[in-house]
Amino acid sequence: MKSDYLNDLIRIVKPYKTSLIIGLASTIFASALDVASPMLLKFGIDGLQDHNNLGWLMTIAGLILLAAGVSGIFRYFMRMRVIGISRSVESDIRDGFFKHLIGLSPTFFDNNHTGDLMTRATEDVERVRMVVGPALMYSVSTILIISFSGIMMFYLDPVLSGWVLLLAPMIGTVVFLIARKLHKANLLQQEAYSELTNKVQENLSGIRVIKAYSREDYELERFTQHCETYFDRSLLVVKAQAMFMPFLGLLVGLGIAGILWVGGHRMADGNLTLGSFIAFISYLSLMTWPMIALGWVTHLYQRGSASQKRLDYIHATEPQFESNSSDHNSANGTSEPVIEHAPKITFKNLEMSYKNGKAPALSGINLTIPAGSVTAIVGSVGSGKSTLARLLPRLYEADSGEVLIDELPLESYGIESLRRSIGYVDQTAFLFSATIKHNISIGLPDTSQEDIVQAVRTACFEEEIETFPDQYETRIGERGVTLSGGQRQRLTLARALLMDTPILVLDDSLSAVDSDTEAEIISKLKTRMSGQTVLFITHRLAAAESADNIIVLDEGKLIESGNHDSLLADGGLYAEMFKRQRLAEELEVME
Amino acid sequence: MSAKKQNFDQDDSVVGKVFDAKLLKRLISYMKPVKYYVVLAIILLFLTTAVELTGPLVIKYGVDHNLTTGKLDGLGIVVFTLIGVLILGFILRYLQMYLTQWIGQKVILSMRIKLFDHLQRLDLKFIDSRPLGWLMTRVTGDIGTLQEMLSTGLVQVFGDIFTLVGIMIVLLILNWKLALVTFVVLPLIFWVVFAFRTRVRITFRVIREALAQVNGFMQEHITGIRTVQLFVRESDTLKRFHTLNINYRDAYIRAIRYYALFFPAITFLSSLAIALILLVGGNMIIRDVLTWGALVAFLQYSERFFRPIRDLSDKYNTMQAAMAAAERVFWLFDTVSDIKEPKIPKSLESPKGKIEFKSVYFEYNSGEQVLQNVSFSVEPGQTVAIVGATGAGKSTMLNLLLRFWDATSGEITLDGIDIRDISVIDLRRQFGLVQQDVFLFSGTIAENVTLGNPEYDGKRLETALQQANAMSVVRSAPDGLESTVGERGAKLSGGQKQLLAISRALITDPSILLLDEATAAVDTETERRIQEALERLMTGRTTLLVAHRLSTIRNADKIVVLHKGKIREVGKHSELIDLNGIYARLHSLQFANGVTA
Repeated sequence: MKSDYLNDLIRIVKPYKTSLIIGLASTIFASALDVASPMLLKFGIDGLQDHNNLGWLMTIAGLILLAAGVSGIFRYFMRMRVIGISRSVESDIRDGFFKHLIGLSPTFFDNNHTGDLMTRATEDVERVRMVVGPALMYSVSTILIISFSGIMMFYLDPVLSGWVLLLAPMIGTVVFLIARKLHKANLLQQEAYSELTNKVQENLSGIRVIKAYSREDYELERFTQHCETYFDRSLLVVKAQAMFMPFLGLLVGLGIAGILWVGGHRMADGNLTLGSFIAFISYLSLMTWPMIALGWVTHLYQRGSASQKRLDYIHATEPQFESNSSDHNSANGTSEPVIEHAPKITFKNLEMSYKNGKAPALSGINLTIPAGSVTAIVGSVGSGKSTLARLLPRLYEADSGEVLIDELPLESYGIESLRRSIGYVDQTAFLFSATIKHNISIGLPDTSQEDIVQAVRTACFEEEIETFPDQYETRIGERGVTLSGGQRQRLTLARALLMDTPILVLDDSLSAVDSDTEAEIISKLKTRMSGQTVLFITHRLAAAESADNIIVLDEGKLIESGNHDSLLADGGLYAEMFKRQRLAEELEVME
Repeated sequence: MSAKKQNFDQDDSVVGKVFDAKLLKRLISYMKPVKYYVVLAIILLFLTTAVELTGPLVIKYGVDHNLTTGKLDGLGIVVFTLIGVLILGFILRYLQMYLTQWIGQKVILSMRIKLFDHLQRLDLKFIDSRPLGWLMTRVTGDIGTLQEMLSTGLVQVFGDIFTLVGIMIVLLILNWKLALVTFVVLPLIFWVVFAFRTRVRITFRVIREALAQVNGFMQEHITGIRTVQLFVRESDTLKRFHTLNINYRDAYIRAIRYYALFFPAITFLSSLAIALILLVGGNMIIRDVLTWGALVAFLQYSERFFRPIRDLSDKYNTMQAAMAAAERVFWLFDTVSDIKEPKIPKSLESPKGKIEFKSVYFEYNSGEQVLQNVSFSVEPGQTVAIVGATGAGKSTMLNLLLRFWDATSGEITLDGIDIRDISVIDLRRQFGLVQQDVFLFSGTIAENVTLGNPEYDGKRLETALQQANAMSVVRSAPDGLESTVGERGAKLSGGQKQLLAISRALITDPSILLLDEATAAVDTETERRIQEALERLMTGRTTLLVAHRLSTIRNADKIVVLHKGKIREVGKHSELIDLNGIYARLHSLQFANGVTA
């Protein structure tokens, strides 16, 4: 498992190999120069005792500055390269993640919440980035500084180095132990915090119950308990935090005390110079941060591993179609059939059920929709209307049975050419926060303004667009104007009409449009509709009235079909529904 | 006061002033209960700084008296003194950090509780008109920001200043000439740190903006994935996403450049300090005006300049965020509930349960008319059903009666007393509310019925559950009464939730029942249970119900038909059917619904 992680990391940074090598080479040079500084200080001080001259001092001071300056330049390249790469890598991972997502089936998105996917795309990607960026940089830098310093110290005085280097594992252990304690305390604190947050959220949602039953005092008491738990847990974190840096300071200080004691003896014996003594103290402080960083880097590496797994999990989901994300039709596209004119659509022995659902969504559907006809599908909520419609652009796939377009099964058409042949208008009327024009022309970005206006006119939306501040260039959504449900629906309709597809599917997509406008739209569609086979789902029977065929679904079964008059005469579910809608309409107009 | 112009759609990340005397004074007033601890913390801080600065002096003594002389006697004492100073410093630092954080947490604890209580007692008009997340952020995020400032910000500023000033004093005493030379790096460090901060702050604003675009795009296109796929826009979408990603990356690379310049610059400045000390100090040693020990001490102190300066620059951000948070929090504290308690409340002794609406009007802030000239009465013990299409204003009538909102004009009386003259607690105690959308808390079954009232525990709870036919819910749950119901009652079915809501109303033994009947379909057995429980609940009580079930409507003493905010028809079922007006149509519509559902 571990090596998978390593392979993943190597694969991620591979495109930036050269840059990475430059960055890491800079790290080596910079570390070497940093380690030279205390040595120079030693020579300066020892030289002072021997030579007593100013020129020597000037030389050494100059060299110290030079070393710092050159090391600074290398550190600059180190950071720019390694951290820079990590940002490029982040961008790559996110691109790849999104590219994969966009090819997944709607079922995947039904089962995975947007919030969860977003967390993966943000937090998990960031955590993997931390591994290839800061964690890599600090671990290399840390190991170099510690080993170079060690070498220098051994060169200066092996005996004293032995004593000082005893400290390294101690500091490492302490950092690790306190960090672990801190981590646990943090988890506990976060848990208490989310409980506190949930409590606030719950009480605000249930505020009517609390007020109606005058439970404010009791709720205050409970909230106070949550706050106190959070307080206690926070103090656990505080304790670990208050321990962390001061204790490290103490350990390093003890190291200096040790140098003072052992060094004092070594100097008395003539085995150590004052310069070396000072260099030792400098090395100790130079090594402090790297020793802390070791613990931190381990934590980053582990965290990144968990995140990489969470990303792999998504990547392991197979895309719905092989060629989904490619914009070009396969080269030998000639063998692929194309839907040219309003086709005949046939549903044969369709069976379908959702994974979590008990009752089948569709069962035993046999239906032929004649070429160029207008067919309405009606039925109560959950009767399978939308499921049936979604089979056409292959948003869902049936468990058994088949859907034929012009006698050819859906699968024989390329997915892209199939979808380009179907104008599908969803019930949710999803729009992007972009301009109106962008939203309408999304399927045909290079279309002419006349065609857009034509589509908008058919969707009965032209006059309203004229009233918007920038007409077709008006931004909608978060940072623009807010559209009503009916406006959104007509806009998505215009989007589908613009494509002038052989098949048009309206999935209850005019529910928020008032009934007069809906009737007008349907009649406009009928007059222009010579080249289209239209399927429209509606819950307004008045709109269905003018359709060539009306299909009535109930609990996934086709129970009635015919035209308006024949269905009324049959006196079945359709007639019943019609009667009820008449009543509701009567009420609506009563004053 | 600037808080007045605050409104709820104000951006939460808006940058405030760094220093606002009024706000700060108000914040500090919350520290009164812990003022002695604050004093103690400052004393501790002072002591800690002093002790921590002693270490290099002890080493100086050792260098001068032992190391450079080659004498070992006394070195042991020096080393032990050093160890003693280090341990003392560690203990003091630990206590000081703990105490400072404790103060912040303690102050915030009471502030958070107060704010929560204030919020839950505000009127529903206020609460309903704001997004849930906005309200939550006040109690969580904003309070957290204030806690950070109180815990680390305010006190730590003193610490940083103590440290800086302390080092300078010690150096000046050791050798004022060398000290002045060393201080040359100080303004440079200040300049580098603050120049870096300013630039990084601006860059991070750009980065946040770029990240928001990346996340916004992604979120939007995941939500609209079906549109992307249906219109075969995959490759174009990916291209645009890639551009945003690159934008974000490039914004970050600017920040990386600042960091890549900043860290080496700081290292270079400390090397500059070392070089200066070596050069000037070395020269002084040659002329015998500086000891070796002092040189070592100078080298050590010069390393400690950097941290307090960096910390001080961090405080800028903390303070700025805290001031903005304080402004929002205090604004909320200053908001008062629209629902006013009567000055001299009239008491309701032995309530009878007569309700009267007298030409009641209600409109939203937007001016939208919800109720117009609504007048009707409910006699004690009567059951009155309110019937009407969705949006006719039925639930509003229950909200007015409970004083969740106050009527725009007109009067509602209970036993002849204007409900605004009754204390809110006293008024609400008269009612038992069963809502259409049953709200359950994430506690246990028992807690959800008693709502934490200890008087209801035991026998009374059991009786209520039995009468409400809810014992079956208890029996089927794993831990009986103590079973948790999950978030919002997720572990229970709709029918089970209904039964618990009925128990909840039953247990308080209210004189008046307010029922907003559920429309959700439940199986016939559950339906029968609910029906039976409701009938038991209604016996002997005045009942006002928003009715959907035919049987409850049929048995009502009076039916009030609400249509487009006005009362259009009043009477018994048979009378209204004969009238063949709105009710007759509603009735056949709902009856038809019942058949096909």
